[in-house]
Amino acid sequence: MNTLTKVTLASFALLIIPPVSANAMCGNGLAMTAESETTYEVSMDAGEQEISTGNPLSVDVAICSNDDVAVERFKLDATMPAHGHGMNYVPEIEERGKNQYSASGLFLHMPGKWRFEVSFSADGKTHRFYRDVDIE
Amino acid sequence: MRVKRRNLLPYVLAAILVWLGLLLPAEPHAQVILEQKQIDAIKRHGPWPPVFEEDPSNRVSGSALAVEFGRKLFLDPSLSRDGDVACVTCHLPENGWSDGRNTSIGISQLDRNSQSLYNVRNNRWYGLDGRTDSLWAHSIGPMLDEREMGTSPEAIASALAQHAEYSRMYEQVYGEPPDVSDPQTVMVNAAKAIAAFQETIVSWRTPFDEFRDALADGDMESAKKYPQDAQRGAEIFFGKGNCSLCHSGPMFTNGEFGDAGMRYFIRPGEVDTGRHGGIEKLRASPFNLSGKFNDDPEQASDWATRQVALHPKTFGEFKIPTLRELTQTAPYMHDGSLATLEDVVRHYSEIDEERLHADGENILRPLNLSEQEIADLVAFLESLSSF
Repeated sequence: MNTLTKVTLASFALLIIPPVSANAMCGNGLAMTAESETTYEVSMDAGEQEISTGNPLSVDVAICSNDDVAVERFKLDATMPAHGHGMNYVPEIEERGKNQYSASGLFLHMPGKWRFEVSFSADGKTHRFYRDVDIE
Repeated sequence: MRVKRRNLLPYVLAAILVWLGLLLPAEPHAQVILEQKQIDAIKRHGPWPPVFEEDPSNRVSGSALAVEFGRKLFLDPSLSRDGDVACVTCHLPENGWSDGRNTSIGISQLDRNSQSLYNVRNNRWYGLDGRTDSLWAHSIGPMLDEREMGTSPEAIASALAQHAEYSRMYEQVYGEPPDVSDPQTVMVNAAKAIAAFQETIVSWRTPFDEFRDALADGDMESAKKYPQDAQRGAEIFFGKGNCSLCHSGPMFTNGEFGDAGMRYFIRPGEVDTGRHGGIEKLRASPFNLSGKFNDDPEQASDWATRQVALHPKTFGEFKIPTLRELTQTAPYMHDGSLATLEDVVRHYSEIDEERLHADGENILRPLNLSEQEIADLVAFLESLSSF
């Protein structure tokens, strides 16, 4: 195989194999869904804790981007869309590293569908993500 | 035709299995009318009683000496301003540790219904408005309230120091006699002993608990003994009634607050602010778990105090009560305005949606129950009491 053929095949391979997305590398937790088009990926991880009612919960959140951008004004909340309310507590947010956060004191006081919501600012825009979790 | 022996074997085995099947009891769930989803929900409402865990914010929690000292203080009216009101005045054992009145009477008339002390140790918040975050802090409130016992830290410290038996018991529990120069600490310590006593007030097992445990053990022969009307009531409670969303877990409460469509006004022009006012009082209190009187060295127990949210919707919300031992604790609701369990069920069946918060619980809607359904739901609620 001559050099030209190798270069041609390598070029085809690059076309066939999709670029590694930020999502594939973003944390070990549950992937969160973007509310609108974004280049960012977000995951939330409750670790060993069971996401259930009756106990304060902590989650780690990772925000990933192919660009070297530090996000700002990170927020996390949890709501019950069908019930029209959220938690009775305000989670405490701690920045654990670049675009890495932990939120503690999340208290889900009712069984049903809870929506975890994350928002942050970057690139002059507000980015919003969510993840639904059914709790018995 | 000759049939090979090995080909007969499956038929023989099948016949044996069919014959054995006829001998086995019927399908285990056949005698229980509830669906598996409801059975699973019922299992999450036990077991009962819960394992005792000491309160880390109270260093005398679980101490037998403190329990006895607290019991004496709980019963003694001499600590009140006029010498005729004690904790037991509004929390009578014969009334399920409440008082049977619509609204209680201390030194003067109060605005809310007395809450039962059954299983009181298992709460996150105390009082109908959740104004305190520990049982010991909540035991201070009535002592200082002008309309309840109307006393002061100085009067309590002095009374304990001058009472030979109380002074001796105080020293046994805390290792030193009451120090009248530090009356606030003496009062807090007295309240912690009263809390230690109240931690011992635990309700008994009920017909529901027998049913729940039988379901958890897969013992359908025992489970089917639970009355059919109570089972039908459970279908509503854990089903279309959505009652178990708020009345969840072994305590039959999620420990939080809700707007149940009751009246706001205490009297013309005066509103009971409920949880909203309770959070404001909690934050202003020197006795909350973020303060110096919390004995928890790790201070982890104050997370809820630090993080509780003062939402507008908390206005007019009241504590979601436990449903255990309900038959002993009438009348019902925060203002004691509903006399019977049937009245309570009818209230939810016909709840006034116009009265509810616009930003409150969306799923709270009139249940429109039939007379039979009302009777069944009452039968279920009665099964949460031991007698």
